[in-house]
Amino acid sequence: MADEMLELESRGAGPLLAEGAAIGARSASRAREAREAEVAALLRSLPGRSRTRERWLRVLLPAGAMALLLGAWQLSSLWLNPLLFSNPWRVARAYRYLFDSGTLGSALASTMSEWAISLAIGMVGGVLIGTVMGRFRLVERLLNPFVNFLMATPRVVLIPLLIVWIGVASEGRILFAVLTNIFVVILNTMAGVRNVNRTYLDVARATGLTAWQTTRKIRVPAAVPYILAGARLCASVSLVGLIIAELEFSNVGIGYLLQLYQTELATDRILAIVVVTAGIGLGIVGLFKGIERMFFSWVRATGTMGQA
Amino acid sequence: MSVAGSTMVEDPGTAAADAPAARTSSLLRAWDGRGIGLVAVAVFVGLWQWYGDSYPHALYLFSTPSAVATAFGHIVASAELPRAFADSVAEEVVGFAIAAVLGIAVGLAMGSLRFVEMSLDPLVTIGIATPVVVLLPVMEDWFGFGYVARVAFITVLSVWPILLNSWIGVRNVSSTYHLVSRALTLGRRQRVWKVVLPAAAPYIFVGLRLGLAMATLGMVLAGQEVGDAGLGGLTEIFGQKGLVGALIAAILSATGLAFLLFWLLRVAEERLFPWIRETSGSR
Amino acid sequence: MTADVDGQAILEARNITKVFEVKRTRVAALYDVSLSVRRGEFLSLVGPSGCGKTTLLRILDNLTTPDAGEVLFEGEPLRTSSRDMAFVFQETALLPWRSVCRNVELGLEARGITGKEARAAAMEVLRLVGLGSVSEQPPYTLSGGMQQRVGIARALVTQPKVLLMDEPFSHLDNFTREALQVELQRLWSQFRMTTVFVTHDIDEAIFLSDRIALFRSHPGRIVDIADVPLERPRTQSQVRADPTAIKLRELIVEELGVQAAEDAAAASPKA
Repeated sequence: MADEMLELESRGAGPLLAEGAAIGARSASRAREAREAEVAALLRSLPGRSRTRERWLRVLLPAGAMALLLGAWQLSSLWLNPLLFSNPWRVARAYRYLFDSGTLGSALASTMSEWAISLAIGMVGGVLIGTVMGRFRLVERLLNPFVNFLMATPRVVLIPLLIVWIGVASEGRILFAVLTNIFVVILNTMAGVRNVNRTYLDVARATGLTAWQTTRKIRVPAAVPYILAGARLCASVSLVGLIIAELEFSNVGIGYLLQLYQTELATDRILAIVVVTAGIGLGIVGLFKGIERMFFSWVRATGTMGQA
Repeated sequence: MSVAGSTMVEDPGTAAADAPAARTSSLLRAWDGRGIGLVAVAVFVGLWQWYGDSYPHALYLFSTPSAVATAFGHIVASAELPRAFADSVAEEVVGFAIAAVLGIAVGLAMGSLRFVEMSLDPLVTIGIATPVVVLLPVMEDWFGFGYVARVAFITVLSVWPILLNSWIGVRNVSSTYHLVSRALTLGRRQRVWKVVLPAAAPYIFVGLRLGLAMATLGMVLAGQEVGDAGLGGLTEIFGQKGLVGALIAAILSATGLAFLLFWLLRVAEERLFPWIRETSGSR
Repeated sequence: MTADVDGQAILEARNITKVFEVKRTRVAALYDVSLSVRRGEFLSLVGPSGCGKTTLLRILDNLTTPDAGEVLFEGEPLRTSSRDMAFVFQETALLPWRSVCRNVELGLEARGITGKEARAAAMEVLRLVGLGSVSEQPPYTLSGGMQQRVGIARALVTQPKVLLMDEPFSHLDNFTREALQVELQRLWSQFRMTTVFVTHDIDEAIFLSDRIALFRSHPGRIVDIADVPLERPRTQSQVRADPTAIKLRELIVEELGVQAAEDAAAASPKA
């Protein structure tokens, strides 16, 4: 049957326990070296797995898509009314007016300062409430119906009520933004406080830390990743809430400008501001990613985020 | 650890005397606060009613539960509320449906085809980071002051979370599932329909939930700003007229609508994919 | 008796080379590997983890494409996953949104068989592997061993000419594993389909196979193929006690061990 036994082509080791194994071994190791050299040569020779090609595509493809969209939009002005539907060129020109007249600058100043205030209030209030709720089940159960109700309600629907109560002042806008952002913070903080790894608490007990020390040294840092996630969301959501408030009842700020230009049908100015707002939005995301990377790199490393 | 034993065996006489007090205090300690939420709500409503009754000027600012209930009855009877409710639901459902189809389709394309993903990645990043509400005036300009603008706004607002989560879901479909499809020689259409989409379903539904929240937001906002339509419009009208009772009734109706739509989505999810809940632990 | 093979190769791998790139390092998972699989035989691919056995198995059904070399199925080059080959995966990978029966039907759906016909065929195979009673249950309610049996049923329902199995029992506990090995032997004796079986468990290979191909890594290649001259049906205790089996085991261990030693020697600085 040996003839019919199909040959295998492999280099190196010979038949099992052939005689003269010592000789076989020596030639085997020589053959092995030869083979390894061949393999190494093969590995070197293979074309670079288009790593650079991928990097190029990653930039070119979206750029191309963008260019296509902008181009199509620009061309649309041949058929559609450019005053109404605008085009990239007109939008670009609108910036000149917006910057020169200082309109955009003052609107941004107003909006972003109110944004910062509402962010601060939302974070502080949210972390406090969230911590208490997360730590004490009783408090959580007490506040639950109210929190759930307010979260389920689309907060925009409360604006006419806010107007009745506060009128069209800056406080009303900030309050609305806080109402929008605080729940995100509360939820995330609660999750963070509750989800402290049991093992860390055991370590605290074994080391003899007091309740207050435990809270300060273990509970709070462990909750940080969650609070951080909450902060990022809070920042984005505050901007949305503020702009909504400005759209509805303001005479300053970005939302107000948008409304104004809408009544004037100045689409190019509207879109110019839209682009700026998009930039702000991206800036916020980038800012928080940067904060995370700089001060909280241990979050990703230890995977504390995924703890249940 | 203090050891039980020394105090466990008690003199029956003293034990009987202490029993009732001990029982109440241990019951109190054992009670973990269940039901206190309801109590709190009842207290809140009671205080609210009392305040409105005692200080009539406050009526114009806060109304009272009874006034809200009466107003609710009125706007239902006058068909104002039912009509607004129906209009709102109609707009939101249409806008959300379009956003769902678009978002899932594009997300699917991005998750399956590298070329599409690379082209659209930056655009999606921008879309997710931008406060899309700024496009409301644009919708008004382009589509006029009516139904189309509102639905378009709802669609534009809610498509992003759906798209993002569908994309992630499809991308995260285990490579083993792809190998199984290949080994079983499933065609592309069969593979997408029978394997990829169901596998991505949990993510897609997360996206749909987030999208629904955005759609509700868009519905109210557009209702308030673009004409006075639906529940949003009602709040505008009642707010301007100072009818706080009716206003609060409209607000509660909006909450109700939100609950209703979320419940419907949940039902759909459980009907189509009952396995999501059970297996989400074993992923 | 050794398998009634007719000596023809139903599946052939010729000069297969496959290179993987992991974090900027390139590894030759397979280098110039050739293998012939005879019709009707049970062939095992054995070796330590990560030496290319799974890669070769996947290449045999075109689940992965080689960088060099080709695969011939019944004499024809293989361009896409074959309908006549079925694959059983290590992780089983049953679709959680389908019942057990519907999972088995999936392979039939690919061939356009649906409805009552598909269901009947699926139920028949499920009964064959002893799972007729759980056909309507969702997969997550089943134990690991039962799930793998469903995986096998899914593969068998299409009546493949070649069955490829990638360490199907390695995730299971010892008891389940041995039970399934016996079950597999029973099924194989009934259908005699050509089977290529990947495992790192030498005893498992000896129990099930007609031939065993020994693998080694760096680069991945076959260093030898051993015959398993044991009569069927075999028992677990036979594998442990039979002198032929013991000798074979020793030889294999020594062969793989020798290679490992050579590996170590090659890795250390030259004298």
